Amino acid sequence: MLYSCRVLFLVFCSLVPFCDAAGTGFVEPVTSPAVSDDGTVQLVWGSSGGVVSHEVRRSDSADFEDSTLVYEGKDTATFVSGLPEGEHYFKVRSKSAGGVYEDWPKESFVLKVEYIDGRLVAVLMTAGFITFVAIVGTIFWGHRNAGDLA
Amino acid sequence: MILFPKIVVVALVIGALTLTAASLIALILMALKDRKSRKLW
Amino acid sequence: MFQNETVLDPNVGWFLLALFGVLWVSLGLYWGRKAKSLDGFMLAGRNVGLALGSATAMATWVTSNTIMLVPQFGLKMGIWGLLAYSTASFGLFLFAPMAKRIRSLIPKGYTSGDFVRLRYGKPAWVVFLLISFFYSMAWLVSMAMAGGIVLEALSGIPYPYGMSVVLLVCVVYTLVGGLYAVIGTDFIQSGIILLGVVVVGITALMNIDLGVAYDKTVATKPALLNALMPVALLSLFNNMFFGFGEVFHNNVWWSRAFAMRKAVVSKAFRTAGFFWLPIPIAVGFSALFATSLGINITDIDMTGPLIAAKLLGSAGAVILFVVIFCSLGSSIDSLLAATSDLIAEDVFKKMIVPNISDASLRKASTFIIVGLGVLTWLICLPRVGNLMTVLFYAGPFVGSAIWPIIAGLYWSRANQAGAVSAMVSGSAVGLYAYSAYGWYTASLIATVVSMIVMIGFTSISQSTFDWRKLNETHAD
Repeated sequence: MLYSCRVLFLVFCSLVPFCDAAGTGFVEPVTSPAVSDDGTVQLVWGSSGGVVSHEVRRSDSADFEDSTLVYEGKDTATFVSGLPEGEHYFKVRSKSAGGVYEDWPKESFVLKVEYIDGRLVAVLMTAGFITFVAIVGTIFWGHRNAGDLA
Repeated sequence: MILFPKIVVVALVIGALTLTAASLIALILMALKDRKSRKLW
Repeated sequence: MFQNETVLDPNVGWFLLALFGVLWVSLGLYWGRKAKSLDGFMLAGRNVGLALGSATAMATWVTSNTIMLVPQFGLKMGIWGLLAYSTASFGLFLFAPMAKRIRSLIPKGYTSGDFVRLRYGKPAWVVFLLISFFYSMAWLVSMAMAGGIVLEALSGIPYPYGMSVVLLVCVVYTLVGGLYAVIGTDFIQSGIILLGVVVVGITALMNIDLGVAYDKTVATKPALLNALMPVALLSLFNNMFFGFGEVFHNNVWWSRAFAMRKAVVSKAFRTAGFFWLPIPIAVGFSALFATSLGINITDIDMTGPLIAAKLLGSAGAVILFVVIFCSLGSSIDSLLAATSDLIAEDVFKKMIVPNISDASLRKASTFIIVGLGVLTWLICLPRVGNLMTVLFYAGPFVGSAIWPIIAGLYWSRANQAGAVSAMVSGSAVGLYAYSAYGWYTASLIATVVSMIVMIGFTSISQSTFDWRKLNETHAD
């Protein structure tokens, strides 16, 4: 039942241009490339009866040379974090009991990590620091001078 | 990217656990002291 | 959802709920014998000592959010995420001198609302109460929801049942024992929380070689160790001001300031700050190194339970279950008590029935506690929204209240126009920032705007406030 649903979903998505992530095997995020401003992404992929293990790998190049293992096991989701800025490519594949891993899908899921504009960070950090000093200073000096009602 | 040095990270983790354990001991000792001097509440 | 079954058998979960539920309610009944008068019920006789005072301040500030959100911060934002969370303890440190000032200015006060009404007048008081109620309900709801979700994740107890039982237990013992029950149970709960954090932390440490884990994180998730991680740096001041706003304005902390013996009030908050300071790092470092622990996080909301389950198995899951129940209890009871005090004193007595006797007010408080519990339960039942959104949305409101409070305590020229304008403009701009820039800017921007407005109005003011007007008693 789950397998047929997955097939139907993939057929549907192949006919609809915006379901870009469908060919990669990931069901979440829905579109590829996806954008992250903090280097994190929740990856969810499908499974079907008989599958005992999934393998998710990440590469920093589109040709998927030199990949690192992200996850290997029975789960169908993983939360990835700590990614530096740039483009990251993910692929997932499965294997059944007693079998070997299938071939990697042709397409990768692409995640573009673009950190928040540094200027915004600098402005807000400066404002935050000044405000922090002002708060501490107000309490500190107020405490020192509040001798009249001790 | 500037990274926190290894020694800093290790010190933070071990320091935090040590401080938490010390807090537990301090809390118990403070309560015993207050109870002895009838100043619990 | 994506994981195997729960680690804790549901029957064990129910047993633990029943065991600790009966314990807290029994203690509530026992200590409730001291809570006959209004001062006894609302303020534990205004004589709480250093140990209990420190414990209640620390335990109240360790919420189920601390146990649940801290690992998420560690997982998403690494070291800076945990350090940013730790700055919530600064609110306790800074409230220490403020608490002493509060006791000096309003020795017979009951609530934070009393201060704002006497200091600034009715319009500011109304705005302040609206902010306070909104935040208090957001906090109550987020904790009740978190409790239900975590209990379900750990033990399979269905969310509606777990959430309901936790709320019911807290309502009952707060009802029968007032602030004596709240503070007494907080002391026991604080000990359990600290012990649990130490046990889980040391277990995690035994399973990680920190040096190897560090190297692996540098190789695969370097941003978690980034000393200049943008989102984390932003969240540093945002979290800090959120914490300041929560502590400076909310009656949970003001009621403790009124409840403690004047000689120890400042030291108690400072001590609580030191107790709280290391907890985010002690709780969150295992999430940061989850991959090195061989743990796959399938759902960020489940980070904490997943790590506990993997590291500790059933026995450890029991510890986490109990720690979370304690952290829930220690905060929900405080919120129920303090919010009902605010409604009883500021709305019921000051707005509706000014001549009500203390004995009748004490009775009214019990009904209000039940009402708050029911309202919270109704909001939580449908399980709408994720954890962060529910609480962080209140950030701009509490951030905007920081400057009216501290200026009101220390600056005689701080005035009503400034206070109202600061709270309204800070909240409005902060809410806008929430949607325009993200949650990690909302409290920060609200506080900055509120500061500018408050300083502006204070600097152009010609009049000064007579501090003696704050010395109100219930006989007046």
